[in-house]
Amino acid sequence: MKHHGVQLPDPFPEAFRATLQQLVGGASRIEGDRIDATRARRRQLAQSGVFTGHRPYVGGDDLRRIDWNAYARSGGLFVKLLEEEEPRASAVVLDTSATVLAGSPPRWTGMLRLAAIAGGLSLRHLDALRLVAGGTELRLTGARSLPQLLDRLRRLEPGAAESPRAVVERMLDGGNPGRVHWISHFAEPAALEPALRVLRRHAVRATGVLPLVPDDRDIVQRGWVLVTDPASGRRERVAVDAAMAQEMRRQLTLLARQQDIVFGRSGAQLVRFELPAETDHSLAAWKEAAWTFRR
Amino acid sequence: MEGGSLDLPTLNEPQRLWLLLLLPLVWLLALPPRPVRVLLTAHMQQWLLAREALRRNAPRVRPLRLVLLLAALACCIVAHADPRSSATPGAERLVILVDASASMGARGESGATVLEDAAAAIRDRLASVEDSVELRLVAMGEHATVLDGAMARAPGAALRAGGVLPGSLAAVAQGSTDERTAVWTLTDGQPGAGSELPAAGALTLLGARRENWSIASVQWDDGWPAARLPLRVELASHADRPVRAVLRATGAIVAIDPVEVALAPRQRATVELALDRLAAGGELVVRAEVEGDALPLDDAWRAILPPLPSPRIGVLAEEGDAGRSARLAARALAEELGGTAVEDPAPGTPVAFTLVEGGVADLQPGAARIASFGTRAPGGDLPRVAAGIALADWRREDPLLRGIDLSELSVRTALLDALPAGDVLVTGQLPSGTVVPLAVAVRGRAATSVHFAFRLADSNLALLPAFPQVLRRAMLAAHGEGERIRATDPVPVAESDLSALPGAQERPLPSLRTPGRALAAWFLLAALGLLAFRAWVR
Repeated sequence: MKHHGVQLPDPFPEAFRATLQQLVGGASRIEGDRIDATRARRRQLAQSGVFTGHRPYVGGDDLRRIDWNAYARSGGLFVKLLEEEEPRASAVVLDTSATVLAGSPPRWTGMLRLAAIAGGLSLRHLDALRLVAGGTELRLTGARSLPQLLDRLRRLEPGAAESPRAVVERMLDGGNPGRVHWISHFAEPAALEPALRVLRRHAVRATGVLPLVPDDRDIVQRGWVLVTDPASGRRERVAVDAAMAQEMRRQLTLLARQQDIVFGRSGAQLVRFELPAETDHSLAAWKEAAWTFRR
Repeated sequence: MEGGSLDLPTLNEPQRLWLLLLLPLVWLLALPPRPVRVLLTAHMQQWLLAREALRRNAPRVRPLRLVLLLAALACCIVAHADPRSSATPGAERLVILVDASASMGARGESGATVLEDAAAAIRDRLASVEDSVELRLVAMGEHATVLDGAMARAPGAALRAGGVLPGSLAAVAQGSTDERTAVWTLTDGQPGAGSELPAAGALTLLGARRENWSIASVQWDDGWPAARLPLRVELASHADRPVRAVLRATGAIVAIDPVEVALAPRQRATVELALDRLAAGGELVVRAEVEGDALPLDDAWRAILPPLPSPRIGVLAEEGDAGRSARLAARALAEELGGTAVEDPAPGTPVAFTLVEGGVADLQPGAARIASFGTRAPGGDLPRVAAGIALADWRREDPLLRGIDLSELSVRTALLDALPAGDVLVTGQLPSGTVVPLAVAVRGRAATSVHFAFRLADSNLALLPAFPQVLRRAMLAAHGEGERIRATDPVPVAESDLSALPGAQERPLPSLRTPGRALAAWFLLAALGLLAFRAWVR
């Protein structure tokens, strides 16, 4: 698989799939798994929960959920909405701009694997998953949908650029997304901030996940480098020496600080995850990621 | 540009165009460095900020600026190759043959001589000839004058008319002409030039028909050391009208009145002048004056007269009859010179010639102006005396004895082995048959001395008719060749006759090669312009 001249490895080799199964299926080894499972079963059998409001009755609704008192007062059929009524869902927003192909190894592979872990955990423990990527949205439910999720992730192609705010507004139009895991490099924090504020306004809890590649910390290459932005196609010849490398480290530090400020102001959380080596599919390497998505 | 075609510049140093190979090298050096790798990044903004923070500019190739730089460099290289505009074809060398014979000294209506007109024509014509044309001016007259380069452009002062052409103008012109050399002949076309007019090269005929009278010839009888100098002057008319010429002789002579001579048209007249030379010598000028004469050069005859010798003749001879012949001979010679004979002159007394008769004396052969007769040098063995000597012969080709008859010479006694080494003039035969020298001439640098082996008293030499002539020649020879009259040759009559006009047609000077103008400065200017434009282009 090759995108923009970048050779991309198979994001989900068998070794990673096995690790993924362990991360998603090993509920007893993860704190909170049992509670979540109980709540999910109770949702199917009970009508308890914190009353949050009414909505008009539509055909197909369980007759047991009709608020007869409200019918007596108003003459109309309304269904009581309980907190538990809204499905416990999460959304994975995946940045598919061409710039995710940068990095060695490419950041994109790590992002797909993180999305797979986040999605897998949601399918296993929550009611639904929304995958927002590349201008499309995929809704999945149930742990059996994991292969479908992986297949969809594999078929994603970086290149489509969409502003973060547009992504958020389109996602909100589809209903409450639940918890949002936004996987990106967040190279332009200023463009991200309006989107995070919209999420906050809609009381959506968002977590930014930034998969780190070595290029995010240091520039080890020396000599003339043709720095290329795969999104805009812009190319710049830069002589990289010690001074330039040091200055570039400083700029990356400033960027990280900016990212922290933007997420902090928006009440969101930013998690930086050091991507393991491309061929490292061990459970230990990805366990930290699973914890990130559980918190 | 000619005939609608554009002549490309030529290069004097085309091999320097190899430097144009530097242009690709400059182009390669001007390219930005090849990146060692391509780095895909999500942080382009950070790269740009980092570069800006370090105040580094992006290496960029601006094609127009690079093209302008290469063009300027190319212009400099072409300038280095010395470009020149196309040359005008023609001769690269010009040889100017100027007739500087006497006839070129004739004056025209304007007062300028024909030769001055020729110099002006040369100056005017050469003003438009490029410096690159190699010039040589050859003036052929009494003396050949060769001027090269800048000197040939203004030859006025260096040209002087006189004499006759030493060679044929036609032959010189023909020999000088080749593919690269043009010849330009300037002459008055006088037939007296001794040759036909040149058939090769350009020809300019100067002068016009003029009236002229000249001194055709001068003959003189040099009676040195006598003061009398008879002259025979021949005047010639080259005009068609009779005139009266005035002949004046001035200079190192006793002044005489001018002589008026009637000259018939195209006839000659001879005038005899009896001049008396001044003892100090000097220049003698004989000039014929005629109204309307065109050529002054042939109106004068000049001669350098040597100073006359001192009129004292010394004599060293025994008193009495033994020295009588010598004393008589000295008196006769002194009388001929108008001087006096000085007997036994004291040392330091100025005498022109000394006769030594017998005795013993330090004669200094070849150094002293003497004629000795039977005198021996001091010291050494006494010479032998021979008697009954018969005349054997004398050197008739020697200047001292040419035309002299000594056949009746009789010598009673003579000294043997007493003569110095020198040219034997007279030989005698002893009774034994041995031939011995009787007279020798010792020719030295300063003087020539004559020595006889016998005394005048012991021979009949003083009685011979040739004896005074022998003495005079001995005295003349003692003073050397410097005492001869040195006279200029009159201008040949052919040069003086200015009544004939040349019948040839003039031929213009062909076009001379004009070298291409140097264009290096223009190319450098273009390079500067390109660089200035490049500085303006961003």
